[in-house]
Amino acid sequence: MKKYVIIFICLLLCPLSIYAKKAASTSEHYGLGLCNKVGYKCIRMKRGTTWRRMFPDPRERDLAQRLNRSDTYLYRGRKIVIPNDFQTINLKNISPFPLKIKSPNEKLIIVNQNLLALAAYNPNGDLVFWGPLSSGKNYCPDIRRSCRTITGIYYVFNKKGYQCRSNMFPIGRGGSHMPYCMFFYKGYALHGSKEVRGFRDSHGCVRLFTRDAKWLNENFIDVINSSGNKGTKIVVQRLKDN
Amino acid sequence: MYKRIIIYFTIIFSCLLFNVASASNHRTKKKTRFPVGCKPIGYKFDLYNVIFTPSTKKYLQTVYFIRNKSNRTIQLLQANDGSDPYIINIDGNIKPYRWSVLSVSENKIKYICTNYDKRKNKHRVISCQNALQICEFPHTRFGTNHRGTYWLTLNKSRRSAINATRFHGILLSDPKQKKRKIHDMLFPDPKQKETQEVRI
Repeated sequence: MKKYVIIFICLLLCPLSIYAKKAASTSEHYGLGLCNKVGYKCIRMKRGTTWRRMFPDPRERDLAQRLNRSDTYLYRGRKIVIPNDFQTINLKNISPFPLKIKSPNEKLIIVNQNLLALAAYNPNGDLVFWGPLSSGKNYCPDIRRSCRTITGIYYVFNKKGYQCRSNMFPIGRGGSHMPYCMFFYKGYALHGSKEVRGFRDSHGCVRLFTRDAKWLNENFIDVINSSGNKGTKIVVQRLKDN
Repeated sequence: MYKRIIIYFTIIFSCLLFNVASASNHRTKKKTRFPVGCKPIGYKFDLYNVIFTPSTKKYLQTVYFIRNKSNRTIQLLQANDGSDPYIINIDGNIKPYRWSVLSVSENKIKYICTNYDKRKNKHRVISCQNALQICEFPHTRFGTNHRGTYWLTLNKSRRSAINATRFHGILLSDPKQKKRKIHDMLFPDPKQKETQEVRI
């Protein structure tokens, strides 16, 4: 009798464990892939640690957050990756994008969902900026469907300042804060967020650090206008597992 | 008496059979119609590949209707010949006898057609010319909020593909552009004529 009970429990737990494994794999933080690489190490957070306490120097803090593709709360037990020596690295060193591409003859933004990063190139093809992002997740329970970010080439047609808010999310109410939003396809936008977590976690928009979104919004992005400007081009690349 | 009845019966039966056979033959040979206003322009087949070069030059935004005329699923893979500074990476699978719609805002996009070979368990490059039927709407009108290069819809019937495109808010044949073209034909600009003459 006992045997049957044990087998029954095992059968019951098997699918649960598979589901848990899947969930863990989808929400794995980006930077942890560097743990075994030369020049980097991973550390586990203790209770009460914050980015500010951990890295008092703003430059080091910024680099660490970009490496981990996240600026959210450091809860106890969370692992983050840090370089062994902050002096040897800079923003261009750790860029996942090439510093120079063939001249696109117009401003260009490349959104790479596999690298969880965005790059901004000037018309000559020089990398002027890159930053972390969080794009649409595979499944959104509130709308009961996939909410992956659309892929293709688009043009920015509208941008707003710090007060920008969503009309749709949270479902039924709207009002979700999307500072410095830059719309490129219907309701899809690049915008700042306090929840860039190091994995794909949005409803389809592309979340950026708020400071990055501000810089892009004010210094880089052009919007379509009657004088002939057709808006900054945005290339959203496809996911590898797609 | 019986003989006559049998003869009449065989004649009628053979006629019926012939009708059914011809109808089915007609159905298989029936030429697929492009949607109204969609013309087979703005692309070329280059060896095994297909290259989309939109015919609209002034406002570079157009729509292609693509049909898989083969009986196998075709995978369209975007080819990068090194001239692009980036990879757009928008591939698509088109099921047999289905229509897909591609919105294009680039000067040139090149695709390779492949087909999954079950026996060898790998993709095989096939000729796009033998597998695809393509047409372009030369006078489309897009809203500002959905311009770009992307798959508007995949694997639909002809009617549903048109409806899906309209659902996105795209005017497939913009009356303003058509009017402008007719006007230009009827009343050609004299300045333009002069410049043409000078060129000659």
